[in-house]
Amino acid sequence: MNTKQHPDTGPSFASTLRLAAAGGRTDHVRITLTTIGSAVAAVMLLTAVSVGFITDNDGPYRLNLLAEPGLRPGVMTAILLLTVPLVVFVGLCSRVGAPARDRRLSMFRMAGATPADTTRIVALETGLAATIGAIVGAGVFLIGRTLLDGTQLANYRIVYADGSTGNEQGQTHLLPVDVTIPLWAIAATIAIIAIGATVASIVALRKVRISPFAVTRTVPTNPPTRTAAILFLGGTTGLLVVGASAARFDGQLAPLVALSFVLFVCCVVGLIMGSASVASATGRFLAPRVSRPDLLIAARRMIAAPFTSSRGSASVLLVALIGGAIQGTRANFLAYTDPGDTFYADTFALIDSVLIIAIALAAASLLVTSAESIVERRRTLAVLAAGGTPRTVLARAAIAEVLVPLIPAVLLASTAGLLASQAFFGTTVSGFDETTNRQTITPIHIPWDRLIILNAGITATALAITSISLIFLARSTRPTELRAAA
Amino acid sequence: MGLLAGGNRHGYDLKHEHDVTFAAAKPLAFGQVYATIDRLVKKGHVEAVEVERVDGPDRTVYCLTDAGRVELERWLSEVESPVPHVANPFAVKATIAMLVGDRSDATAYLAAQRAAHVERMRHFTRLKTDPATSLAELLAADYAIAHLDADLAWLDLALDRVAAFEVPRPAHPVVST
Amino acid sequence: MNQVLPVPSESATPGLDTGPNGSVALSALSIVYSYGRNPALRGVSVELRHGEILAVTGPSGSGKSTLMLCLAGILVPDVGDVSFGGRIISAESEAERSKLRRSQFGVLFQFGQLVPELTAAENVALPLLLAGIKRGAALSAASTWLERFCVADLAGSRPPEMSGGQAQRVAAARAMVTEPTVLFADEPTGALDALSGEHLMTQIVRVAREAGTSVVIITHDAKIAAYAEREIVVRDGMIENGTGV
Repeated sequence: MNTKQHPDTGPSFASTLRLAAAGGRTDHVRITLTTIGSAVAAVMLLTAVSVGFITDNDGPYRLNLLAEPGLRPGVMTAILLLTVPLVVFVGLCSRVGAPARDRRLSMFRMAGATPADTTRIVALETGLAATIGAIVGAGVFLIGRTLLDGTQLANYRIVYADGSTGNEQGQTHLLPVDVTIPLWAIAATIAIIAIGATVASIVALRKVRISPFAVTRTVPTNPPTRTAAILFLGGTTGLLVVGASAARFDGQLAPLVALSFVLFVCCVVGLIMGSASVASATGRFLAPRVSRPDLLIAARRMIAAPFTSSRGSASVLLVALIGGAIQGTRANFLAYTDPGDTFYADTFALIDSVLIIAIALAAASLLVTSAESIVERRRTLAVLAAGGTPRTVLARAAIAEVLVPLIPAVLLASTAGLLASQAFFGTTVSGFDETTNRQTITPIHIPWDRLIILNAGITATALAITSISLIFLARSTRPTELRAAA
Repeated sequence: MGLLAGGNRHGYDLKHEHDVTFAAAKPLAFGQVYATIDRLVKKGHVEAVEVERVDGPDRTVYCLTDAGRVELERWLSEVESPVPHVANPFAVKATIAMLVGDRSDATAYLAAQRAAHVERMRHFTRLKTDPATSLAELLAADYAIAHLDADLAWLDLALDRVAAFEVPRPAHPVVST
Repeated sequence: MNQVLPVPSESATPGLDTGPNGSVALSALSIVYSYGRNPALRGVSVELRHGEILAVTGPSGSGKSTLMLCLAGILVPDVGDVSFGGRIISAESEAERSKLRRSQFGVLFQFGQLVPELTAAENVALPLLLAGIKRGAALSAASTWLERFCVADLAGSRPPEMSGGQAQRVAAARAMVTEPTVLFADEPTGALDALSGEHLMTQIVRVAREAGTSVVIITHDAKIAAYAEREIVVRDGMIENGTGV
């Protein structure tokens, strides 16, 4: 047999592809989710890119955000920020069906695959799915743009050559669908998504040690409580102080802006790190005090796996944070402008709708984590169900496990966001009252109504989504699951 | 009787056939064959059919009677009762080795016996893997292996027991049953 | 009762790197391995000759599986060396040791080693594919070996569709597809009934003899150990009967 003479060059591309494609239904779900996620990411990124390529020849645009060149970087940043929950979502999706795939990889290792070979297999799967998704997304974006291209008669703001602004009327676009995006920018966007997704999958694999026998996951069970709490509380207090004292400095001074930004970042990091600690702490608080079985199961689960409970909620909290900031900013901007000037109001209406999309994305992340958590524990759940625990109790426990740590965290997050916007823009607005010919200082009233709607909306969505994930509960508590590998 | 069930035979052929079919057992003596045939004729299970004359002395051909066939069926359907006394020459030797010598003598004997058993098992295993082996030989080999395996398990256990035995030799020799 | 053992003949397949029979193919020197604080091997030395069939027996938990894993380069001993083909494989990287399993070593376990999503032929071809051999050549080699183990008709089936005995034979074909110098088998018949186990062992011994492959069989069952020519007994992490070399 001539196979013996062949030097060991490692698996060919075709072989690696075949091994990456070997998979069952859950693996196909994972690949589909990666593709869809990459497509959506492509659309969002290309939208941001199109804003960046607006030239003086394009437009005019109805939205103030697009019309004023100074605001465009902010718009791009906002879109990029909203890409974060999407990235988190795609990252979570990469763990769908991961246990079975990791077992398969360990079988490959036993058959002679090196650790580098297994990394290549995973990277190829994600890379191909992401590339195809990004290309599809780019196609959808470009085609969708031409379909949406249409103008409407409206007022728009224009910046004249001398720097002054004014209003004019004419045919305007709502979205930057007429911008020509150079090919290299489109290619670069696709490349960034594909490479980013591949790198992320490689990094995610680091947490999992795949040996020829078994797969061991380095799951940290002790969340870093103190650092997270310090970061978050420090950040929020700092923002509060800056916000309250901003009035003294009358407007924005560069160092103050920078400080606010740093504090905001502290809040974000603390929040994300802290979501696991909050879950763990809540569990530890509840466990010895509750006697209701559903809360007890939920509390134990929060202690045992705080990161799983909190992984999906991190993006929900991020959205709550940004949502709070947006509402605060909106209140600020609207205080500046006349009630008759609808530009800002329109803009913020658009932002609100984008926020709703972000909440949907975050909710999708939550769905993936709750479903994964249920499927991961199917043997334990099946044992409980077979032993007589009613399904309703298990269902309530699954919901409680996610919601109980989430609700206080959402409130904290939106508050922090609000404080951040206040620190950034100030809590008061100085204006000129023409009738009394005096400087007026009006405090911006906190938009309680919108904040309540925001928080309630997020919580209700989370509740709805977690309830949907319960369909996996019925499947996981079948007696046949008693034989499933843990 | 089982051999006669296959067809009428006379004494010489019966002995020959027995030795071929049951190769693992001790070959039958002619005296034993004829004595058994006489007993069976008296019981009515077997009867003489004809007398052949093939260049030599007369040879009687025997066949199985209907009563004999019934008796054969009954014996086949019966269960052999496990013998209450199991002979264990190995245990005897080991015990005597300990009486005569000491623990290391017994251990040496048991280890040597074990090696011999392992070698015998290898022999029968090689027989099993040979495609030319007949069914009867296979059954005999399986039986031998199963018993050798049981003996080996005892030998391993005995080695452990001898190694762990603390009290000096007992007053009365322990003869195993 | 003494039997004269037949001397294993020269390798039948030309071009096979097995070396002259009688020389040492694989050896371990005073290896020590502990799982955490639990010492599994406490100073074991073994020599395996080319073409030899060796059985490693002992009670469960004695460390025999650990010994096999160290010899196969899957585990690295805490102390001591494992040498193969002039290399000290226990000092090599994870990647180099993994490559051994797709060229010089074949491994066969009690269960759970066939990838359920691949066909039998692909499973058998897997080590070759991992070594860089093209799909066509790999699958053709796979079908040859499936035939040697009398499961050629299962080439297109998937493991969940097979019986235990069939799956083990496919796994054995996979272990031999690279024409390894050493075949490691850990309780290969553990999940099979007596007759299927016998068929498997008969085929393994026949195929290994033809190819000149050395075989290491780990088993607690004396009847399976009887397929080997030599036996070492491991007890409490040490070799008992001193016949490791």
